[in-house]
Amino acid sequence: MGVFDNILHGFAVALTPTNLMFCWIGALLGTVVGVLPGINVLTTFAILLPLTFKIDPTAAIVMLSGVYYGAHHSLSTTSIMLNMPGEPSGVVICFDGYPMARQGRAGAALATAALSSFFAGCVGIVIIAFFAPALADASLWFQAPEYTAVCILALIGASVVTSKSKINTLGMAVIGLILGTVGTDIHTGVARFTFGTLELDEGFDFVSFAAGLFAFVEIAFRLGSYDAQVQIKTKLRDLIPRWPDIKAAAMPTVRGTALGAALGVLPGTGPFVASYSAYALESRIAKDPSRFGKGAIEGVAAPEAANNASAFTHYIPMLTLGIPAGAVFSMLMGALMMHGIQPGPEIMTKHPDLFWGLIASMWLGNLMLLVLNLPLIGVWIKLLETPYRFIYPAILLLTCIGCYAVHFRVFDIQVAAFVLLVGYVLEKLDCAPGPVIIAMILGPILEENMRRAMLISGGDATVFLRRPISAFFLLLSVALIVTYVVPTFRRSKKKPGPESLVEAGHAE
Amino acid sequence: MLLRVNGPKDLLAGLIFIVFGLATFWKSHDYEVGSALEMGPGYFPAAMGVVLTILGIAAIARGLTLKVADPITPHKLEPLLLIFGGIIAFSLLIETTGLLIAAAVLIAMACYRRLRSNPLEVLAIYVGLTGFSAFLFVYLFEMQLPLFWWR
Amino acid sequence: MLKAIITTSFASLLALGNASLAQDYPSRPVHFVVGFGAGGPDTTARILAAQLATQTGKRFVVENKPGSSGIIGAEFVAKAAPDGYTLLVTTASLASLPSLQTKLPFDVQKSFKPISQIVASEASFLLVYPQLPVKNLVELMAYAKDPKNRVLYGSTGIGTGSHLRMALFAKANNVPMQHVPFKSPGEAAVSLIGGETHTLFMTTTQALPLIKSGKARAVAYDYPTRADFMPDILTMKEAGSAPTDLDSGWHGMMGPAAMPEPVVKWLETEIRKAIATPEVRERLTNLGLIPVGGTGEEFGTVLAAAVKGMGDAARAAGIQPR
Repeated sequence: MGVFDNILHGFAVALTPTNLMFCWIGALLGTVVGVLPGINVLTTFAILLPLTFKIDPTAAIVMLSGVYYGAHHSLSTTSIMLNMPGEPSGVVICFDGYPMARQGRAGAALATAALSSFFAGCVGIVIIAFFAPALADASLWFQAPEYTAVCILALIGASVVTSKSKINTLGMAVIGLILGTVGTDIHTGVARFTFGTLELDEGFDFVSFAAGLFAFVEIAFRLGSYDAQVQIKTKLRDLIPRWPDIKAAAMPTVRGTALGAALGVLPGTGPFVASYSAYALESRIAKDPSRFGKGAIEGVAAPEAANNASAFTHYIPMLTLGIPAGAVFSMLMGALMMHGIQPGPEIMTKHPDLFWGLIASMWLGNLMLLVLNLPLIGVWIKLLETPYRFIYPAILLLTCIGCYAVHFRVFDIQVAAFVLLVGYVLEKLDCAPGPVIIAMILGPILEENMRRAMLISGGDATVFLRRPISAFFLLLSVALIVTYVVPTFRRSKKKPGPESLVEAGHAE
Repeated sequence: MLLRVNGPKDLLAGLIFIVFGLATFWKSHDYEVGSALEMGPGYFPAAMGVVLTILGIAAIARGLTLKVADPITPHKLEPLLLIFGGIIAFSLLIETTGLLIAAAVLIAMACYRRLRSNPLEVLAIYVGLTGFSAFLFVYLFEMQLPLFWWR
Repeated sequence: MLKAIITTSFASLLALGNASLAQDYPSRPVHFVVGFGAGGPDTTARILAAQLATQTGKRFVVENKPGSSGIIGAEFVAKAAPDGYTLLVTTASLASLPSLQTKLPFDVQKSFKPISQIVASEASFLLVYPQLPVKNLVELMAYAKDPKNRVLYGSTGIGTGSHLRMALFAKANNVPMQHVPFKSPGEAAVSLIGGETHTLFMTTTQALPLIKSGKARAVAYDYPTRADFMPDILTMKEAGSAPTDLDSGWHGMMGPAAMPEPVVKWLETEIRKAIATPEVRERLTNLGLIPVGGTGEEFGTVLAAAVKGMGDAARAAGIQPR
């Protein structure tokens, strides 16, 4: 078989000392980038760019790719440990990863994340190697109506994220949708809700919102609590996930991988949509959905797998069509083009060394990340055992620097500070912040595609139902609403329903 | 009045939803609203403003009819205000005086109480954290983060 | 505010020592401000900075001030000390700002001193969805004019080159077409090859893989002469339409308006030298850019022409400045 010869050849390329070294540098840097707030893959690429001039193109793309998937791999660390998501998809990991850490199961959460990332990465790489062209063609079925329908389905899924009052959850999601409209409207160029400031032209920045709503509110809550602070004790045997954990995480990992791989092929969605959809799916099909948000291991495994699988299938538009799926891939393409290599359908035939070397290096890099991350868990746990009075100033300072570093402007830090105030009040009123962030990210994609679909169809709303894929997703959305609303009515007839017990228990 | 209601949280949340919803609805009419078939830039926010207002009314109704009391639990406000102040101070200082002073003010405010009981510990935290960030962000990642006011 | 006070006092201090300054320029790192994130002009700035550093032994730092289509970075440089240590590397989109925004915090032509046009833009191809029943430009125009058909064109956003180019083409030939804006070239391209939108102007480097793989059909090349790498594709004129003559993709360097002449000359010379090195030429060409490295005066002319051209195009596209 030619393909297997190619793969062997790829490993021969990837295993040369230089390529191996650059793969290692990339993966290591990526891990650092994933953990640090404010430093993202794109800025790292820009810093590394002059270096790529001097090395050969295969080594360059191997290193840059290492940074990219390495950052995805370690993204969950700060979410689990500190409730601080560095990238949108980290928000989803916060939902259950952080409660797990608070229960002393940080080790299990981190190990599950590392293992499901590894699994998803391996599957994602196989998909690139074997099915890239077919998937690229299939992704073209996804047009504005389909994106709209997927976003609607995902948003309705947002209502399952928290177990607090449904009205509050919906209200927070709508607030997120409204906040997501801030900035220049892409269809008309009108600046909405910017109040004349240039800073809001491109909307609110994710990092400052996540910092305010998650990291800062958490600190204010923990310091302001009258309860005695309980030091989290993690027993050594909790460092590795136990058998029931592995069993519970296995199928969610597989499902998350499948969902992530599929959604990653679409250039119009980011890894957030993938990891968030995987989370929503798991919480819908779980036997006991109320465990979600309180430290369910499936809630870490599935989104983490989806995030990493989509990170790899995001390569497909670039490798098969020469179309970058986002700014990171524009940079990757630029780095190749400067060496005279045009990414696109010809890359497999014209530069087999580079293509198969990259595939093999991805697998090696994935393995390196696993080997790197598993022992690191011990270090993270040690860090968690440090008294909180040492940890919170560190979170504060690093997060403030992170907010500043995104656009190098103080405005973003100030946004985070005010988000802290508002988020604190809302949290006190039992309005969990998760839906705000979810809706802030999904809302603009939804509105953009919904209006685009209507523009393209010439104002014909039936387009959403005439196209099979979008009709299917909309049908699923309706089904979801029904399963969501019906139990409320049925339960409200009985007196102290299980739901109100849950709610009462949640009022900390 | 708030305190006698069983669900003061829902009541307040509902009020916030209504105020924010109405404000959004009102402000979105600065932009062309259009219709469902030809949505202008104001359509989506205006619709969301209406939905939020309705949800706010529902939350208030829930708060007024709640059977079991669900009061707002007390919390110390001092840490919140100090952290908020620290972050704002950091944002005002980072570009004018540089990281070293901005971080000092942030950490001093965040560790306000310990500054008096255990100043050495706070100093150690400051030196360690600032040294770490300077090394990582400024030296390693060559980030355009001024350390001092002369860049 | 405090920052503004410090910067201005700093600036006046430096202005005192201007005469002696030029001789030992640069005595500290020179900052190239880019009003965008990574990619695009940032890449050009980094290629140039790396070469200037090797060739002069001085430090050149690329600084990103992204936001508001480059306005924030440009404003920063316009108001910086005119000492040659804070310079702007920008794209032609700067020239479109006066026709898109009514309240710019600077004047594109008066607040800056043009230093050098680093690169010129490559030309664009006019692409159509391959299953659209048109083989050439004339057929496309006839198809679009037929009231039975509704032709949609994609772009990478309101006021971007791909939008303005199509608007000029549509206006010049009286072709009715519906604009469908996207956020990135990638999304616009996927929409075209999936047949969601029907036609799109795309720059050469981005268009080539699509043309070669047959995912999109090129009906014209928006340039006075044919491309030597695609000699079969007719120019706009040959294909039956006037070329758009829109110069929308150059990258250039400018500084605050009051920069001393010797500093400008120093930079001009060094940039020309840097652009002339084979490695830099090769990198830029591979990215689909045409190395220029001209003088400040030449760049000033290009800038003025671009402001006018983009303004005309924006009016043709019916964009209301806000």
